[in-house]
Parts: sequence; structure tokens; C-alpha cells
Amino acid sequence: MYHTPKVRVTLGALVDAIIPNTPLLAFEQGAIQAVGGLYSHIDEYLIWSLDHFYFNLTLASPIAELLDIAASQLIAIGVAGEILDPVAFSNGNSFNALSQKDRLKAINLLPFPYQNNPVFIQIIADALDRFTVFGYYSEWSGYGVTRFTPFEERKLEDIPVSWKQVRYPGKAYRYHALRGYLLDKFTE
Amino acid sequence: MTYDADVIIIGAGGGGPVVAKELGEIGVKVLVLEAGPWYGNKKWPNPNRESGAASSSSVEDLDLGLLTNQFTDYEADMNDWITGKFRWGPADRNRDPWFRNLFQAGFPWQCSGVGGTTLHYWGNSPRAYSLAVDNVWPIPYRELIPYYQKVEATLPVHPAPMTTKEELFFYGARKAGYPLLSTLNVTSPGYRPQPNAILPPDPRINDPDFPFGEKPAGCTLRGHCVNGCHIGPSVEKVAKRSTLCSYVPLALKTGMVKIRPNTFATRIITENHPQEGLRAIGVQFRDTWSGEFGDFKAKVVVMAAGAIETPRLWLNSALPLNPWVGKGLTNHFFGCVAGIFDENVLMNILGTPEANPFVGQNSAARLDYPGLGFLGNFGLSPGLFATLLYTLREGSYNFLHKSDPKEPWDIYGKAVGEKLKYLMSQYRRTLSTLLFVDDEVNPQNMITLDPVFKDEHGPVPLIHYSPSQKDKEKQDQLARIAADVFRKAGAKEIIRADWPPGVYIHSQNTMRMGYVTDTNCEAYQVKRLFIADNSVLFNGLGGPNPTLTTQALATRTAEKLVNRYFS
Repeated sequence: MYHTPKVRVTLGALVDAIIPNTPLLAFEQGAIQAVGGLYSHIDEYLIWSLDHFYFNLTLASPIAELLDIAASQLIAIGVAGEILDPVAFSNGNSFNALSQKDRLKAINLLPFPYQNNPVFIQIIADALDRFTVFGYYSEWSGYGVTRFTPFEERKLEDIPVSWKQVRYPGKAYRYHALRGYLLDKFTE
Repeated sequence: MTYDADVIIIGAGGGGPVVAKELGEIGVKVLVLEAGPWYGNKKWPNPNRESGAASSSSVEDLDLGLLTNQFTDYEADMNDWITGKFRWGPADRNRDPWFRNLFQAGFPWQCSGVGGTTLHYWGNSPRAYSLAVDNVWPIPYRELIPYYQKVEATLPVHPAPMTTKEELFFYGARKAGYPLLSTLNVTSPGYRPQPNAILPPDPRINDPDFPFGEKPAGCTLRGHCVNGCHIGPSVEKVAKRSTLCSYVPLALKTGMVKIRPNTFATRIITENHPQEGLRAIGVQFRDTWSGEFGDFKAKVVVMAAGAIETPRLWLNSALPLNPWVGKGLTNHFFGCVAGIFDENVLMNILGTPEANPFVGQNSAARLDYPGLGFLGNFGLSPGLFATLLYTLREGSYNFLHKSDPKEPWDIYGKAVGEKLKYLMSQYRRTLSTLLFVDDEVNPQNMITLDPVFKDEHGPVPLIHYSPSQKDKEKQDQLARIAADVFRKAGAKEIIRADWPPGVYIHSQNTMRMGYVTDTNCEAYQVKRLFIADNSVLFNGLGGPNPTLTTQALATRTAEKLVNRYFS
């Protein structure tokens, strides 16, 4: 998996918008809530998924480009609040230059500059959210340094921070949780 | 002609193994071709890394130890759409999944492998609503009942046990004024435990000293139906009755059934017979490891590859034109509603501060509503839970959506950012239900061949489904009913997820009885070619999960097939 820093910056900015660091939630609920998707390397999971989900096309790079173009459009039409990172903007990383909310607005407006194939854009917009969120709340980040080794060699090295945030105890062999039956059997 | 078997069955998913077992018991020699891997079988100790043996025909090959190692209970390992063991793709996980093209957002959620999509199904086994069958199907509901009974006894099907999430759901349903239904033949609204193809827990399950190490038969309420059940003393006694653990072992025990995984059927071979006309005589296949093609001959062929691949196979085989092949797709137009509860509310109702969506069978309670569909209460491990509840949306992000105080939900639209993290922090106090819509058969909804994309098995399926206005109204009514049930149970926040229609979980009706097949499920235009999967169902059953009806019909089809060609 080779990608330019620009691809990683742009898709990292997307992960950061979907699952951000949340200091306020940490203040309310505890320190574990502070970190978000980038801490768990979900940008890597997303990039890998985008390169393998659609026929044999590797889409991470074109999608990153598309996000930067959509961000520039958002700025051009005056919808974006402000450019938070002028250096990133001048380097062509328009998407990364926006606030988290504006990045999501850019995704929402994605069909806008690409009206010749809005369905494909919808498929991509769906994939961006789905892969990011599934990757984050599944066990994937717990594979740690083994996350890109062959599947059979992956080991769950850590408890994913997302599991701690939602208080999922991980796998269990059984629960002493039976609360009886509403019916013993059905009738014809 | 020399035959490789009397009958070739294409697909070892929900339907194929049922036909195999029924035929094997009568003494008919069967060869089952399955595109994906075989987990829990000694002949494939490393099913994702090595091609292993060609086939297995002995129940002695089944191995619970292997199954336990392979079904790891981890969501990404098991259910990642791209690399998971339960994906639609070849056994070799280093290769990409098999592509299907959609003209919409979403994904087909199907598994290749012995067991097919029952590998990750939730075991829900309700009968169809008679309202959707009588005077609608070419056969009456009463005709199905003996076959339902046979499948229910064979799997077997039991009323699901309650844990916290079911107790809370039933509490809300009662408060909202619905009655408890005890019947298998539902004709009016009410709530009931899911009829699940899951062995009930050992009655001693709550005893802290209960020796689970002895691997007793029965569900242990661990919440991993979707990630692959391996709980039990042996493969054939695993608690969740995927066909991998129910009909497949029973079929092997007849001594008449051979199953060949890693074998993708690419073409139905036919001949013109002077008396019978066009008839099926075999199947061309591709070995998914070696890439080599071959063919098998038989007296009868049964297509059970699912509602997407069966019409694709018909079309790729250039079988006679039939305007209904691939047409009429229904998919229960899913949606999702959830409620978040305060601790004190849960304490009052349950005596415990949490609903715990990861405990118990994944879906063990339902509210039936003939005419609209039904609500299926569910809980899952957090990756799939977050995905189903908060990422699947037809519309925009929640923060871009103006909330309407007149609507019964507080959150509508994709949850994202800090809101998503807040909602997931409430995971253990969230109760959720899927909406299953009684959607209409519409020939505009269909499987066709993609004009551009082609894989090693031919042009890929192009899938399209969009709900009618009536379907949308029904989904909206079901969502309001769900919101009412949760509100009555005391939920403080209600979330509605309007899934894009392109999430294919219950694809059905693409090779309908009465249009593509006769009432024996034999193709009108190709003799000796039968269908035994969700594609042959006449409609969406009024909303109920399709597996049991497909299995009942497959049992009947085996009987009809024997009467016609082997008696």
C-alpha cells in the first residue's frame, strides 16, 4: 500500500471529521472519550478498504483528490465557514484546510462538481462513512502492529479504545443472562 | 451418458442443503457445488490459505475445534465486507471480493461458503403471513404448513429466550397496547419471541457454578450469531442452526451427498431432447483456487445460488428469454429505529441499569404487523451496531438536517462527529429494531447483467431496487410504531435511520414461482431445472424473514422432483 502524503492527509482529515477527538465528551464522561479515529489508525483502514472494495479499481487516491476539489468548491461558493489552515490550503490540501463540519458538508455536496455520475458519488459517500465507522468500532485497531500482516497472523494485541469508549467487554463464552421465556412453545 | 450424480445442486446456502438432505434420505445421489470455503471441516484445515481437498461426503470430516478457531467472534475478521470470512468472495482472503454493481448506495450482504448467508444470519425463522400468500401465491398457505412443520422440527425452531433487551422491547410493546401472540400463523398485530433456529440455553445457564467447560448443547446468550456461532458439543449440535450445522450434517449422514466447496457454477448445460424439449443435463464450473473450468453431468439440476446469482447464472447461460428472469426483486426495504434510555428508567423496568445489546441472541423479539411488515428487535457487537444504526442513511448528516419537533424522533439522518461518539457512548443503554417492510413486487426492481463489468465468472450482476410510494408509506408507519413502542418503554431519545434502499439483506422473488417456474419450482422453459432459494418465492411474504419459507419450499421441491424424475 503506497500512497502520497497528500492522500493520507486528506483521508486522515475525513476520518478526523467522522470520528473526531472529543475533549468535551471526555470532560463529561471521562478521559477515555478524548481520542478519535486517527489515534486508532482508521485512516489506514479506510485507505486500504477504498483500494479494494470496488471491482479492481484502487480508489483511495482519486477519492482524496475528489474531496479536495469538493472542498475548493465549497470555499468558492462561500458555504465553508473559514479556511482554518491557510498553509494546507495553499499546498492544495483544501479538504484538510476546512473545519470538521465543513469537511462533512463538502462530502454532502459531493455530487455538485461531479454531476455526470451522481450514483457513483453516492456509493462512495456511503462507503466513506461505513468503512470508517465499522473499522473504528470493530476490533481492527486492536491488531496493533499486526494489522497489516497476513490475516492468520493478526493478533488482538490491545483492547480497541472504541470498545472502552462504548464499554463493550469483548468476546465472552457465555452470559448468565437468561430472563425466562414469554412462551414455552408456539401454537398452530 | 455417464452421470456425476443424479442431482446437482448449485449453492450450499439456506436452500440447497435442504434439498440435498431430503433427496439423500430417499436414496438419490447428490452433488452440491458451493462457491465459497467450508469452515469446520478437516479436509480444509486452512480454508482461506490452501485449496485443500476437492470435496467432502462424510460427517466424520466435520470438526468443532477447527470451527471454533476459525469463527473468532471478531467483527472485522468475520464480517468485514472486503476481507471478512463472511463475505461474498473466494476462499482466499488475499483476493478481492466478487463484485456486484449497484446503481445506488448500499451493498448486498451475502456470504459465500458452506452455509451461505445462514453463516451470519440471526436464525429468525417465522412463517410467511397467510395474508400475503392466500389468493396471492399460485399455491395456498395451507399447502406450505406441513413443510413448515417439517423444517421447524428438523432445524429445530424454538421461541427465543429473553435477556434484558427483549424484556425491554416487550415491555414497550405491551405499554403501547399490543397483545402477545403465541401462534406460528400470524394474522393480526402483536408481539412475540422470535421463532429462532437456535437451540435453547441449558436451563442451568444462570447458575454461576454451571460447568460451561463441558460444552453443553444450547445457546450461551453470548451475542455472536452474526459473527458465526460455534457453541455446542459438535458441529452438528452447534446452537445456531445455520445450514452448515443443521442440514449439511444431516445430508452427509445419508451417505448419498457429496459437497464440493470452492466451485463456482458458471453455466447451466442443456440439450434439446426429442420428447422433453430443452432440458438441463449438467453444470459448468470454475475451481476458485486453480481457475480451471470443468463440468459435471446429472439427470436434474437445482439452482440454489440466491436471488442475485441464480438469475445471473440463468442469464449467463443464455437460457431462453423469459421477461421475468431477474425481475420483481423485493428486499423488505429496511430501516432502523433505536431508543436511548436513562439508567433509572432501566432500573425500574429491568432492575439493572443497562439493556446490553451485545447479550443474548442477536434478534430474539419481534412485533408482527401483517399488512405493514414487522419490527425485529436486535442487538450486536459495536462495529456492526454503529454501522447499522448510524452510518446507513438515504439522507444527509444529522447536523445538516433541521429537526422537526412534530416528528416522533429526535435524531434523523447520519450521526457523525461528536454526536456519533456521544450516541455510541450510550451503546449499553440503547435498544434498537429493524423495520421490515411488506414491499411490493415491481418488475422495475431487478437483477440484470452488467454491460461493462465482467469477472472470471462472466458479466457481474447489476442490481437495482427502489421502493414504491406505498412501500415508503409502510416504512414510515412502521417507524412511527417503533418510536411509539420505545417512547412508551421510557426512551429519552429516539433515533430513526432511513437506510438507502440498496442494502440487500432479504433479496427475493427474482425467479418467481408462476412466472419463471411452475408450482413445483421447475423452470417452465428448461425441464429438469429446479430452483430452491429466495428467488423462487412469489413475493416478500408480507415482511417476515424468508429463510424458513425457502427451506419449507425446498423440502416440497425435493418431494416434487423425486415424484417427477426418480419414482
